[in-house]
Amino acid sequence: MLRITSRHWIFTFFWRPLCLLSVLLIAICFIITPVKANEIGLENKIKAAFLANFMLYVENREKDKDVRYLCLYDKEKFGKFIHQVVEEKNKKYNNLIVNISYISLDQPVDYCHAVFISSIDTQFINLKDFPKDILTIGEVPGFLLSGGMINFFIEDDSVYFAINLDVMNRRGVLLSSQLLKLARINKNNM
Amino acid sequence: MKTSMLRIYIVIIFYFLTPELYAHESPAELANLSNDELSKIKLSGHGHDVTESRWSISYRYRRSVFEGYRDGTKDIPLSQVLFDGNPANRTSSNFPIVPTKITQEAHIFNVGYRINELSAISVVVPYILQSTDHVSIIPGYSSFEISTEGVGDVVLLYERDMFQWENSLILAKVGVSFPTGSINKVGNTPRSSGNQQLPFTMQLGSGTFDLPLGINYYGQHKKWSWGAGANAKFRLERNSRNYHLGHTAGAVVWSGMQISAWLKPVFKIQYRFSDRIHGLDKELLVSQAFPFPASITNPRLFGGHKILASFGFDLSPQSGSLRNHSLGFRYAKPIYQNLNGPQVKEDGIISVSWNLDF
Repeated sequence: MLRITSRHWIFTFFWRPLCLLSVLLIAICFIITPVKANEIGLENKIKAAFLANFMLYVENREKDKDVRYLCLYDKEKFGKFIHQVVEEKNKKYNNLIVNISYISLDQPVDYCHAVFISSIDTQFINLKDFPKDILTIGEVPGFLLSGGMINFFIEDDSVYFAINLDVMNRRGVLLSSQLLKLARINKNNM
Repeated sequence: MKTSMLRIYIVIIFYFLTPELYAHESPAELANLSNDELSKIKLSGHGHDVTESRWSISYRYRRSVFEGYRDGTKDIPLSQVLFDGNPANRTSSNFPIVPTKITQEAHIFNVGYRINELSAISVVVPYILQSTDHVSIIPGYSSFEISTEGVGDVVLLYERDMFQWENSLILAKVGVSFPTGSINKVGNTPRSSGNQQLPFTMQLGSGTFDLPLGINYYGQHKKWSWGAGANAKFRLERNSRNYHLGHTAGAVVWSGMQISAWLKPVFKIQYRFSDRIHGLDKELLVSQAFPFPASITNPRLFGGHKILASFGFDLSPQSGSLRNHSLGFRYAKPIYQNLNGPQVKEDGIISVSWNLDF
């Protein structure tokens, strides 16, 4: 029977190529990664953090103030990341619970405090059919003009948001003044 | 050739490390930013200044005991390893000086920084205390103990999530081990009067730049968690005393179950391979037909294959002021040892660890 010990010629002869091969394999792995099933990209991560922040500011006279629902049509866009961000927020604010709720196009959204409509979902949704007191947030040019309330846009390599105050006032959505002072109000062509 | 390979290796590590130092994008970090701060993040990954960092510090105490002799897979009695003084009975497998028990303790300090959701760096600093009990046939040294202590080899590690799924991930580690541990420890041995260079086992470091590599899989389903991994450490060159320690490789499988909110027992099976020492420290030799006065001075009598079974538990409070702390306890016992002997066999390892994330 072959007895393999550490003195065996295999180990003494092949260690240098083995060492080099290991380093190269690890390097190749690092080049092709990250291959993450739920990698959503920095832009979406920032938008997810904005959405979690918005939930602190949005209020509705007729809905529960302590439990707020952020409704999303698309599960993949923010993946698990938005749940982790919201979880962190919930830890920080003891008197407020933000829940993520996934909805479909044929589902009522009345219980939602805010709905995010991604660029893909926009084409299937008519904002004018939405219940009045829901904050609508989008990310495509023209979203505010078509009746949306907050719209994300990219400028100088950063993510900003614009607000359509007219629509918000007409539809009875209350937003904290803290949020309003950071937003671009009625930005052209948004 | 070897030095240039080390350079390439370090460049590879830092090439992938450097751009990510600016890209803080973990959920906890972004959740704590205001809208104003979020708007200042550059999508290219630069210019983002966040105040929260993902630091961790940990401490691990590890005690290994080696006792009894083995050659290959067979135990051999001490009387067979100890030379009886009759020149006719001297062979390359018995020695006038024989270690009977080796105790190695290590206080291992680790500082880690999570660069982003995918990667982290850490620095590992070990402080080593070791002692060896000997018997010998040398007059005046029938039994004696030698001990050394000091800082061991400092390791810089970079780890990165390679693949991540819903309940599992694959994580790779690469690093560099720096030759900060002494290889020039001296002590009073029967070899001659006064202090002399101590054997390989009593030195605190390798004396070489080493390349630790590892890849690990972690999975979790409900209360169960499990994992598997492989690791290796390559020695790039001989040290200033003209030897290098053996290259090592290993594999591990483990499983644990969260039996309460804070308690998780863990069971692990580990395979370890260690090559023999390459080269020779001439100061350890004596000018005789058989130049090795003890087994631990012969570089060929190191290394082998071992399988260890270990059991332990993790304590991690899920809430309260201790929420970010965790404690771990492990006891490992070799269940198979095939050693390049005669060699002192491993008896058991106890380790206790504490970790704090902040």
